[in-house]
Amino acid sequence: MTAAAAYLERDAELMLRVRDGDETSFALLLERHRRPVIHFLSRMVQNPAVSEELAQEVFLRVYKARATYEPTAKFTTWLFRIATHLAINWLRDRRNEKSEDSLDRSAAGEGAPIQIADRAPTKEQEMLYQARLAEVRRAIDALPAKQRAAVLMHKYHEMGYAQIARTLNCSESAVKSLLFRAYETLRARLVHMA
Amino acid sequence: MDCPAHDSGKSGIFVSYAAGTLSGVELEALERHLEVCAECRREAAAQREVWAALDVWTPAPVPPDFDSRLYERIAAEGSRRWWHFALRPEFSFRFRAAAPVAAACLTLLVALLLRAPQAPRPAALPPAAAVSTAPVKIDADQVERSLDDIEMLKQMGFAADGSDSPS
Repeated sequence: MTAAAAYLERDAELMLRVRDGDETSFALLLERHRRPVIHFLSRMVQNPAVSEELAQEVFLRVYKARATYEPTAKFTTWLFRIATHLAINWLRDRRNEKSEDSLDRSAAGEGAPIQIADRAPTKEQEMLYQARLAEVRRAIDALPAKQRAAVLMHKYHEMGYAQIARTLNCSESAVKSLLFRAYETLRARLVHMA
Repeated sequence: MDCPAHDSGKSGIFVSYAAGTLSGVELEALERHLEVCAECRREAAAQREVWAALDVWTPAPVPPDFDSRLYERIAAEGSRRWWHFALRPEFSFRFRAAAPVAAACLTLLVALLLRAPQAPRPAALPPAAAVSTAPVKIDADQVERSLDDIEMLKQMGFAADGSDSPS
């Protein structure tokens, strides 16, 4: 058995223990998955407070559904399906309320400049980095919700076509098409950054 | 291999190439093709640039109180679970059909309890009249004193019927 398969089986095993009333196993699942869920949601909705609230809702739903859990799919697929569903619903509901400042607002620590070795970035480097980050965020934000979810899962969570397809409840060929169109759009918007 | 740039069915290969998820055979075939096809080299380079550009977006840190707030919400859900569950629409819908059956069972239970054989009651208390029929001890001296009093009153001019007119 590969390490990845063992890791995934461990998730299912933990969730089955949660189903049987083991609270410690829920804490372990939270420890393993809270970071990717928060990161995914923060990029999906681009609003720190909302992404945190939605991430809480994801884990609350997992906990509430523990009694009926059956390991028919990967735990992470289930988790990201809930997260995607919540994010897409939120984006749909807030479509008309969204304002430019949500993009310009710098989340606490989000997009913090990557420091190279022990050299602090210069003012110019920091400005350039922030400008690039804003471009990327705008480009992602301009994508339709489903394309956005597919790109984020593919790029930042290293999910394959099959898992993205199961998460978005569509075929693998549909995922390939979503990703192709999404990356084409991103290319057009980010070409000047090269 | 056929030129991916001119084959819509293979257009996603550059995405996989940039992501580094091409299998060994596919990767070798594409790299051989890239050596001879300038158009595909441009496509592959553009895709890699997009991929690299997206790396700039580092994620937000996890809020330090995330877990504690979650557990608070879980506890709050647990404390209101029973009545919330009863008020949920799906609960109402699920048990709406069972309501008449439950009512019928309750009625039957009450009827059975009312008709059940009762334990013998304790003996009834004797009526007040029966108590009064008990033998009373008569004090003869008391009677004699009473009669003497009546006689004395008569002698003093008071009628025995209570009239206050002198005889």
